[in-house]
Amino acid sequence: MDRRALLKTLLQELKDGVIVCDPEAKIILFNPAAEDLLSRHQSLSCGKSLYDLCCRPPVEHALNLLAFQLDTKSRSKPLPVVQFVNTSLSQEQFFRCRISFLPPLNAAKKSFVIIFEDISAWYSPDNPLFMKIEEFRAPMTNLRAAVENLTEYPEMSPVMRSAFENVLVQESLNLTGAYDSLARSCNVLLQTQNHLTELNTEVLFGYVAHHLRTRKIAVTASPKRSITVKVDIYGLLLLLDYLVGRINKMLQKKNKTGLTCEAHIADNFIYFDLIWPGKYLASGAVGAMQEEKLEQSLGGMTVSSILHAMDGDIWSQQHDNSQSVLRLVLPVSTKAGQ
Amino acid sequence: MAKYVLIVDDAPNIVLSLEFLMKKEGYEVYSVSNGEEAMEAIAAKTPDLILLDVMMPRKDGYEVCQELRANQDWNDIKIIMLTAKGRDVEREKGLALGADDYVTKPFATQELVRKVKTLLGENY
Repeated sequence: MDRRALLKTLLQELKDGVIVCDPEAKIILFNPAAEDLLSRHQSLSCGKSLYDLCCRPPVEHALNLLAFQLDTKSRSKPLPVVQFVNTSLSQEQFFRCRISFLPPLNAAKKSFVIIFEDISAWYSPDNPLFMKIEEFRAPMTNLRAAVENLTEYPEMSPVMRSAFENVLVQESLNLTGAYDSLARSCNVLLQTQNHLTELNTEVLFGYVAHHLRTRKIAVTASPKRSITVKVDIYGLLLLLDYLVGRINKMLQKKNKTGLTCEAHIADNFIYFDLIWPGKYLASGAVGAMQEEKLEQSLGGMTVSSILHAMDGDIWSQQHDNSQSVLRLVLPVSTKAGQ
Repeated sequence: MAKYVLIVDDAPNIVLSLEFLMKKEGYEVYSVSNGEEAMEAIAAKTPDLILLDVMMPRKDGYEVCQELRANQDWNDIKIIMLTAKGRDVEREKGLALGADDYVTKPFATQELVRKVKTLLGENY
């Protein structure tokens, strides 16, 4: 069979939208699925900018990350694609995107191919499935404790017995409600796969250092070993920019400088430590920061929802006698078996 | 003299069980329903151990933990954090901010009793 005809047929039949762009992000080729997905508000045509169809910053960050991996000639094999979430300009549709450069990879300016999968049906920036699962914990605890007390201490007074029986009734109803809500969500979530990119820490730390240097933040990274972490690279950089901005503003008010970043690896986590001279932030202040919506995020995500999507967290604590740290923690990828 | 256990949780159904269990073990027990009330109760009488919920109105468990560890007078108080947050990273956070142990809901009541006794230096 003719190879060109075969490739054309494959492209035609793909359910995911495929768009090939020149180095200036002008569209040079696309398949019918891309037209179906992306032309609800803007017609798709060759010569048009990709950025007329979807949000520009996540695409540019992904391209920068690909270029960074090629430039640094990472010891580990560079990933051929970067995966991330993007939206239509109207922010009505969410897409899982995969992007990669087209050969020749040593060209100064590289064309690229971007694949769009519509995830609007299940994707929510607020990560509702995680929250729904967590809603089970409290009623299960209360129920279990009441049952255990009733069975462990059968000699208890009738008043206490009645109180515990009342807990059984209330918490059974709470559990039923939580289950119904979760079951409804699962119907649309069963198809989900995560939208995070797996990166090794060598690349991730290097890329974060490269990014923060543009904000005049010195970054030191632990060179000991390299492990794999799943990240939303666009969200992570937005988050770091926001945290750096907040801490710098706080330091400026006190006529202080000296914010630095240390990236390092622990047993099950990686840490980005933002370190400054002075007192640590109270837990309540960090909690308030977590509720902030980030201006350039997709779908109005908060610090907390970006962290939850990566299964991460932040807190502040004393670093040494004179310095404090705001620690951003991400778990290492379990898929890598490390 | 009986050891004093402070329970800090805003969910009355679990407070009912925790109070019952701790009293059964012979401890003096007092309960409050948020972080601010906890700080007042601790200032009034220093507990030997606190069963501290994380998610509460008016000052959460992390904040209470951090304030206690910042005050040398309260450094000896044992803290067990009880939380409905099941992620590993949250356990890491609780211990980093000064908790002695961290229990994820749902938990076995006898396992909690064992942890309380161990932290209070009692044989189980």
